[in-house]
Amino acid sequence: MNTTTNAATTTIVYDDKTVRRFMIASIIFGLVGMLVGVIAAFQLNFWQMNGKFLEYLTFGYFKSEGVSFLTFGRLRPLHTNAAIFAFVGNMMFAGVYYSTQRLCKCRTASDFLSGLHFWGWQLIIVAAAITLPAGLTRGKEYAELIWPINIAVALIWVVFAINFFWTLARRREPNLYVAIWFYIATIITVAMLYIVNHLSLPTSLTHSYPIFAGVQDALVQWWYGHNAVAFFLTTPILGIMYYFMPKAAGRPVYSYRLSIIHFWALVFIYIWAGPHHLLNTALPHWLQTLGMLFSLMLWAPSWGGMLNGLLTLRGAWDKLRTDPVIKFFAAGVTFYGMATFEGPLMSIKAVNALSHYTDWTIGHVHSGTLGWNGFMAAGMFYWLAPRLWKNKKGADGNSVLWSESWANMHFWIGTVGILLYVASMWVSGIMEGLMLSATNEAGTTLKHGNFVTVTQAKHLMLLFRGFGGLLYLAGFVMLAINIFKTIRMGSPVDASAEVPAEAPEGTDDARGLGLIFRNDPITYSFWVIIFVILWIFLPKGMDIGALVIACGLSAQAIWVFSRNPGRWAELYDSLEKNWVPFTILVFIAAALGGAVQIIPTIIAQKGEYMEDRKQTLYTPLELAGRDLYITEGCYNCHSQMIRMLEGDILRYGKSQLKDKDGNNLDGGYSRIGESIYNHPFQWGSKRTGPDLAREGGLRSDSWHYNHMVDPRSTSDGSIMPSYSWMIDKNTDFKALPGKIAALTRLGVPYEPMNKHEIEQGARSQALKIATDLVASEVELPKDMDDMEDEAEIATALAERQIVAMIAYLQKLGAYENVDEKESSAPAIINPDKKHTVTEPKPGTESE
Amino acid sequence: MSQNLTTPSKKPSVKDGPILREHVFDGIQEFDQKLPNWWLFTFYIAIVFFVGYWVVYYSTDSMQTPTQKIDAKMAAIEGKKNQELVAMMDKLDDQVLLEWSTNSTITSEGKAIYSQYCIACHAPDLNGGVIGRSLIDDHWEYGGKPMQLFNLVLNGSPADGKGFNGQKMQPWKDLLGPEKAAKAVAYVVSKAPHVEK
Repeated sequence: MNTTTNAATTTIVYDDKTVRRFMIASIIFGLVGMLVGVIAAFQLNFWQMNGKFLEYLTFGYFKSEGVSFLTFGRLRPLHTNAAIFAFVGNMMFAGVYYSTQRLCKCRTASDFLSGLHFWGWQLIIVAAAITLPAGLTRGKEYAELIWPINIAVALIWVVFAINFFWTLARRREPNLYVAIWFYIATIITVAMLYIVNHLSLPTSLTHSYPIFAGVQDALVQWWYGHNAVAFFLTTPILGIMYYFMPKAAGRPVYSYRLSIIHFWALVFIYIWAGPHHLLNTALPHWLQTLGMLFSLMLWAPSWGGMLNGLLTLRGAWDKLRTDPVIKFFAAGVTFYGMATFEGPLMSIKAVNALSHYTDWTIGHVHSGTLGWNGFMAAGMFYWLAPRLWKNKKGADGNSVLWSESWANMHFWIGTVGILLYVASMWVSGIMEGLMLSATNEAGTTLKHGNFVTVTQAKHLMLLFRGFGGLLYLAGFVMLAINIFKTIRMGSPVDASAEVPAEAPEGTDDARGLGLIFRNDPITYSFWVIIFVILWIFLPKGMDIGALVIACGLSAQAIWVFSRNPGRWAELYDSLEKNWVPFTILVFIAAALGGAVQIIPTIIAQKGEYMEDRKQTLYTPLELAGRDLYITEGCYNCHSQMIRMLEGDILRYGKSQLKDKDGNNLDGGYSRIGESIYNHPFQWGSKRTGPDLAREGGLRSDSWHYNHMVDPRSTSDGSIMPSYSWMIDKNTDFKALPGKIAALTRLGVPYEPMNKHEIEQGARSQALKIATDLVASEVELPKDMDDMEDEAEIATALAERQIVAMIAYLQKLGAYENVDEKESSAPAIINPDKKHTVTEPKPGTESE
Repeated sequence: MSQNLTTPSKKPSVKDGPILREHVFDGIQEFDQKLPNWWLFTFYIAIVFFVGYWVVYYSTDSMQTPTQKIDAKMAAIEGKKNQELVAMMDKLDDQVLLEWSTNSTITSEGKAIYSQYCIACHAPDLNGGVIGRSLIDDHWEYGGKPMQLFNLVLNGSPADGKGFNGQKMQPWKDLLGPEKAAKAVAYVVSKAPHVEK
């Protein structure tokens, strides 16, 4: 295959400046992201960390119960965005730019685009760091950034993509190495996910509503959220592993065929698994089932990556003792294996019933991010630093790290930190899951009816977690110092290489789609997948026919392959030599799962098709309150989804609201229709506080007022931050007409209202609440001390955010029973209709 | 995933051991070797499980839907709850609650319940606060007999009641259940000087 032995060569210089820049940015933002994480972690132990600590630090000079931009609800998005997009993002770009040039034997296509990519990305990070603490958010996890920044991200990603694919097109190496496959999957899929999940309708320069609502938004969000983990935190790092691991170990990659199988299986299967974030919720059952079953199928492909990484060390295990780079890589890949075993486990509905909404999930992601991403980053940085900044101070004139023992120390501190973190989250999560669903012997009442009991039981575990995080951060600080010293010791050098002057024969020899159509394995895969999809959707009876055909085709494919395996190997080899067909195939493989799940949901799950319950629309004031709920990031700790589990229903299921005829609402578990007009959905992913789906009517307005100002005055032992500024800041009534107009355009069936009616309606509802609050003798904002007249006070108080917030909280869980639905969605796009929903007759024979 | 299997051309077979591929990428070489059997099996089993689960659920109707399952469970729980409530109502009257209030085992249990659920509003000393009424003053808004207090705790402030500073107590029937509620009331009765006997 290496056919270029006698061809003319030319010398090129690699663009390593871009790599150096991205690497430094990654280290700096890594420090910031981890520091914010540690602060947020301790906020769950000490509510005073939400701003009151400033009072202690300044000896009481700065008076505050809480500072809005330091609260957990705003810092947590900052932490996740910084860790994912700033730390891992920059690290990934450094790795991709370094390895792609060398694997393609050519300099990155455009220095201008590289520069634009770098500076654009850093500008986005800075914008995120300003807007997120300011409370400007879209209210969707890892997709919080406001729409102008979303557009910037999409554009810069396109710049990256152009630069990358242009480099592929100019390569002097016919075959694409497995690392490049993973980079292609990353670039294509992240673009798709990011754009779809960020589709929104702006209402102002800083605010927008996602175009999807309720269950649709939930599905799209977790299709994105899950696959951000897959294609932002996993595939690029696997690519980096495939380049740097064999480089550092000096050993060949364990198995080429394993690379092929686990790559395609990963790209195809990962996408389908998103709904495992929504198990036991109101999400249609068929989607939950797909989410669970595809997660189980994902286990082996994930472990394929781990095997190929770890077994590459065969014959080089001795380096594990001496080389910190190998230590980090081996541990990182091991953590990857651990996290990808735990993931499928937690995707089993019965396990998820315990683990979901608890700290277990937090531990799980951190074994991935700290163990896999963080350690792979550290290994790569330690390997790169002496190569990007040469000092020639090694024994044989090689460049070396400033201190290997510091790197070793970093490894051990980091490892202990992760283990402490993950283990305490296991204990805390499992304990919390068990406590929250524990009942008396008869199963009729909860053992721990007071949520705070559970919060307090976790205190020590959370402290250990924070300490684990602190250790990890300390290790990373050592990395930063080590790299900084290494940089100071040497000077930046751009490597050069002898490469073929012309693209060798066979490079991109089948431009266009021809190769895809003349390819047996692809044709078989295509038809098998088509028939599998038909099996999922076709009506009963016909579906089994489709399944039989799919099985038959698979059998035939295996037979054809086994007769002449070499033929398929040649086909794959030519696919590897043609980046355009390769990329198209990756896109198709990655797009299928999402399309099969999302398109039917968008068509079938709409307000007018709802069968039992339909959400009561928010009044303008309640909508203003909801936007404040999102601004404050309440969804980071409070879910609004009562799952179909006894524990959830016993704890949160009772409704205190009445329907329009004055009858009590049935409540129970949350139904799809109850959040169908929520742009964005707020089902949540973690219950640091209790679920709020049926909060409306449960407590009085003044209880909420006191609770928001000083949570511990109403809930002893609560760790919720004080939201005391909400009694000082005013609600933006003027923005409401624009917001209602936007929601109406998105399909929320508001009665026509003019600007005046909207604002006036909001103000009069606010005044009513405020008047009651004043009558209840709540502690009023300080600036109202001089006011005498109660009506004057009420008018002033009505303007405050707290009133809108209370209006919203009291509306949570309001729905109308649907007597007659307006129309129904076609049954073919809802496989659940296949299941005959007759009541099981007691005493009939069981099969 | 039929597209994926591949073997380098004819002669050397991976069955005989790893083959070092001739292609080198920036110094990186690759072996080609057999996939570990246990790995393949886990993959196959997961695929077979997918097909099997789906067929059993969507083609045989032998499994209940999640809705049927949870509705049946909750109906059973509701039934038991009602039984418990009826049993407790049969057992309790003013006299029994007064007796309970002198039984130190019951009142110490009641105190534990009170301190978990009630003190936020009614204060540790039972003297109330901004949110909840005092339980030791001489005013009972909704009646001061032990059973009246018990019913108040179970069902919350009456819908037409005026509340305390506009605030109403939530019903505790579901969260506490009748037994815990009765014990908490027994504790309150033991402490409140103005309970009507």
